[in-house]
Amino acid sequence: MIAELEDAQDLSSPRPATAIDCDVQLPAPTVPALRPYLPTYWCDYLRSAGFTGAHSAIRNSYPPILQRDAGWGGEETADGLSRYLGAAEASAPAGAHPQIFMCRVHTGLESIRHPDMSAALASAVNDWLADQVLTLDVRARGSIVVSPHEPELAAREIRRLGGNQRFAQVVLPVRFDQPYGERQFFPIYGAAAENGLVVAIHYGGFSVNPPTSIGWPSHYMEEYIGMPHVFQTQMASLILGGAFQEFPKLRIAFIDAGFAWLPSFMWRLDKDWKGLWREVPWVDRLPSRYVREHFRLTLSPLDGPQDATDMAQILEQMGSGSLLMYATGRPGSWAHEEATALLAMVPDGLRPGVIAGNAREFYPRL
Amino acid sequence: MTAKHVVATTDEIPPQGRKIVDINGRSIGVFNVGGSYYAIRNRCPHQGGPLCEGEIVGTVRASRPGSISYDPAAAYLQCPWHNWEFDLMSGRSWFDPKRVRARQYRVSVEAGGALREESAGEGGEIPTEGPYVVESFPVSVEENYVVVHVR
Repeated sequence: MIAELEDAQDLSSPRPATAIDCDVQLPAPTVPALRPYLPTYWCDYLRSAGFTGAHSAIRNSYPPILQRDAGWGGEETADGLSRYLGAAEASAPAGAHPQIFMCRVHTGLESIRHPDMSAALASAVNDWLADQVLTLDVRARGSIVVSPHEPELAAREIRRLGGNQRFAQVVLPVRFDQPYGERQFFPIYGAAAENGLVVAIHYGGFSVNPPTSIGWPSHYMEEYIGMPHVFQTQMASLILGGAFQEFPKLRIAFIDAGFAWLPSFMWRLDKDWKGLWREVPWVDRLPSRYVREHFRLTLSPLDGPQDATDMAQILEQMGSGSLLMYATGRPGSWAHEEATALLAMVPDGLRPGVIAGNAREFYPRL
Repeated sequence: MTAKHVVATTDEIPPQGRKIVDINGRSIGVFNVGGSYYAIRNRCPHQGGPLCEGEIVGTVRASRPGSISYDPAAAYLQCPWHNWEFDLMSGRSWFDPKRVRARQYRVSVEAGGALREESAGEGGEIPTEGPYVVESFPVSVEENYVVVHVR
């Protein structure tokens, strides 16, 4: 089922992909598994300090199956890792042969504030991914993990791996200490844009800030349903901070952000820009234009209405049929059924784009 | 056909100055930008706000964040209600110049003597003493006047 390197299709062939899974999530490996990729100093230090992984645990999770992937130390054998890719493949849309899996490792590295430790661990995870996962299947693509605490070190890591065409994106958590449009983060975007790497911003993250803008909620459900607000904050910050004026080639993928909130958010951005643009004169066009040119969102979670007609209306209000990208997100036994159900809600005319076309057009390296 | 409405002497509206007048029930703002006069309807096309009472600001461009270039010469009128900006010289909105604009009126500067002769030619009476009133506006041969052309 999994294509071996020997049987791999020629990557230079022009045959288009028929399905692109924009998010296959892997747990971070154990620290011992990372040793071959860490400098000796860190190997010995982490051992002596009893470090077993960054705080990536999601103890309250939805769905509960997610807890299995909550800590460092997932399947590190080739068989185990192949299981993830196999599950993602099994959940591909009916009739579509999966051609690309975008692999992303859950690390929680942003919870580590030691700049050198987080940089060393990021490099080790990225090298482990390239060496142990991307070699399993020619269809796998990788995400470069970096710590947003150290944009210069992150830029250095991006440039170090930029020559490896199997990496297609850089990942950042949506929750962080400052909004991502702040200029301090520009080195990350510059390095990504010049290397043709999409910057993918994913659900969750560990931050000194609470998950809501009013403070720490009492219930996990409040955090979970409130994540679109965090994505909105990041979207506004990136646009209004001028990241796309500074880096016209910068592209952002929102992973697990939902999307039904997008039309009204674009209306609000455009409405208020007409009177408030003078504070941010580098935003010289309607903000919604930046959204359509520079952002894509994964289909999952499909957070629109259950009625197909209402869903079509929301998709039309987004003003572009190209904004959504198919992603399984959490390979598991139920992923196949969910994937089929999600795509059934997408109007026929938009479905080929969602399954593969939009991602292929958006990711410079696909 | 438009009619001429004398609204001020030129001295009354110096550069960067303005005067808001009522013509045939329409409130119209008359502005002096660099010595030339422009008239804009005092009604924002957005929701009808008092456009001509707003701040006047210059032209700003920024090719990238933090790189701001500003020409302070009066150029844009900001509506006090929602800050929509309109080019003083054309009435066009900044954000959508093709589709959204404020109503603009032609303005001319004319000598008092010429104005009096015009009115006399149409059969109006000219008093021998004192200023001659054109549309309730006193006109003297020694002055120049700002004239707004309104249908």
